[in-house]
Formats: sequence, structure tokens, C-alpha cells
Amino acid sequence: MERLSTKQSRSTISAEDELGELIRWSLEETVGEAEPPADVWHKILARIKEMDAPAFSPRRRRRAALPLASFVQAVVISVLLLAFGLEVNRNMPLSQKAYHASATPTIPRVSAPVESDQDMLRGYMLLQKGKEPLHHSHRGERIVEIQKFW
Amino acid sequence: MHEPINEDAELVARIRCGDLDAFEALYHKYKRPLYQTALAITGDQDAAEEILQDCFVRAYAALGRVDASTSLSPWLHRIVINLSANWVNRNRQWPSALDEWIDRLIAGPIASPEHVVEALELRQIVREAIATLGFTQRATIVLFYLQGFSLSEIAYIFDCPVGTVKSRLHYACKALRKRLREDRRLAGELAYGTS
Repeated sequence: MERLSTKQSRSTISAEDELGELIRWSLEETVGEAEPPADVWHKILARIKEMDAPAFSPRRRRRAALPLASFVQAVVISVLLLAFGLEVNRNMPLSQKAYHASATPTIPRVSAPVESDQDMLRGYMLLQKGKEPLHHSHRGERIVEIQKFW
Repeated sequence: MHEPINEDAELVARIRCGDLDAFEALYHKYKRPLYQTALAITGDQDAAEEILQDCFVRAYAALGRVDASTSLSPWLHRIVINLSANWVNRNRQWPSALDEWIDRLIAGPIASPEHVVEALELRQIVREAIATLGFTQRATIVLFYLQGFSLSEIAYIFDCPVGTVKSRLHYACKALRKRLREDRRLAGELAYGTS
């Protein structure tokens, strides 16, 4: 049984090999002799010369790119700050001192009236009155009142 | 694909210093396998030539980023495969320009006319079977069988895991075997994996 499976796998491998060999042979016979035309290099050379010289050192390029990015950021931030500052100034035509003098709200001090003992007493009485319950508003008493009426 | 790696590193170092002769040497070193790969995938001489040109122009622009400590062949093939994929997407067909090549090769000194006819037919059958494969399977077959790249090199070229390459190769061979088995012109002559 084992021998049979080994035989089978061998035949599969040889079939794979045969197929691989056939593919290889077919491809090599088809394109194996193919060569690019002689003028291709000149075309490539012409195209390369048209191009700008590429930056071959990535480190050097990164070093050059970093300050530029930060410079652009700095310029943008300073422009924004300047615009903001100008806008604030436009809304604030008075000088800083005058602005503060006119813009700060002033609350006039009102002197409290001197309370007499009479006033105090009157106030207390009013407070007590307010605390007294309104009897006729209670529901139970109101029912009693109605029953009395009938 | 075992080129002297140091030679590539040396050439890249010289190219980075602006030496165009070194770039020409690099071109002459790799032009044939790259052109043949493009031709085998596209089946069009003009397309293969254009791909070769574009490949070296792109390579020149990107030489600053390449790791020159290893062979440049997989890297250059990666560019060719990408360019071929673009071409195949633009021209979804298998042109018959390869017939010219077959005719030219057949015109060489081969034993007898019967052999010529047999070889021509067999080659055409296999070529047609390969042409029916999708782009990735076809390109994998070309890189593995024509250029002799290892599975890991092909994985690098396609930027995919080795397992994916194995699977593509397996299914490509399976599909080819099926098509060759079904081809009536080969009936009784070849029985690839019929067991």
C-alpha cells in the first residue's frame, strides 16, 4: 500500500516535472532568443537627460525638506496671528487705556437706606403673614364648607 | 538568478554619483531578461520595448531609494511586472505578435519538417494555454519557469506572501494541465498528470 502511494506520488511529481519542463521549453523557445532593439538605450538616455537630476541621497533630501516644512508652518502661523491681531485692532479703535476706561462697566454705589426699628417690625409682620396657611384653599375644609352650605 | 551582488552595489554607487556609463552597464546586464519577461507576459514586441524603456527610466529615478546590498534583478522585475499589469489592463487581449517569433525560431536549422510542425504545434498549444491564464498566474509562471526566480523572490516582486505565490503557481499548473488534457490536438500524445 505504502509502495503504491509512493509510486503514485512519484508519478505525480514526474507529471509536475514534465509539465514544468514543457512550460519552460515553450517559453524559452518562444521568447528565449528575444532581444530588445539596439536603439532602446538611446531612447532611455534621452528621457533621462530630459529629467531633472534625481536626488539620489534620500537622507540629504529629507534634511533639506524638513526645514522647508517647518518654515512654511512658521509662515502660515505668523500670517494667521497677524491677521487676527489686525482684526482685533480694527474692532478696538480707542487706545488701550481709553478702551479699558470706557468698556469697563461701572456700577454706581447706592447707599443703603437706614432702617428704623419700625421698618424692621413691619417687615417681620409681613413675613409672618406670608407664612400663614390659606385655610380655605385646603380641599377637606372646602368640602366641609360646601356640605355646610347645602 | 544568482548575479554577483557586489557588482550591482558598485554600479548603483557609481550611478548615484552621476555616472551614466554605470547606468548603461546596468541596462545591458538586465535588458534581456526584463525584455523577455515583458514579451512573455504581453506577447507584444512594441509593448515589451516600451515597458523596458519605462522600467529603466523609473529605475533611474528611484535608484536613491533602492537597497543595493541585494541583487537588483527582483527589484527591476517588480517594475516590469507593474508596468506589464498596466499594459494588460489597458489592452485586455493576447495579441498574436508572438507568432512572428515562433516563425522566426522555426526558420532555424531543425531536423525534419515533421518535427518542425510538431514543435510548432506543441509550442502553440502551450502558449495558448498560458494565454488563457489570468495576469497574476501568467506572470508567476513566466517568473518561475522562464526567469527561474525562487518563490520568495516572486513574493517580493508581487509584494505578497510566499504562500500566495505557491497557491498561484499550483492553480496555474492545475489550469494548464486541465487545458492541455482537454486539447484534442494533444489527444493520445501527452497526458500530464492524468493519474
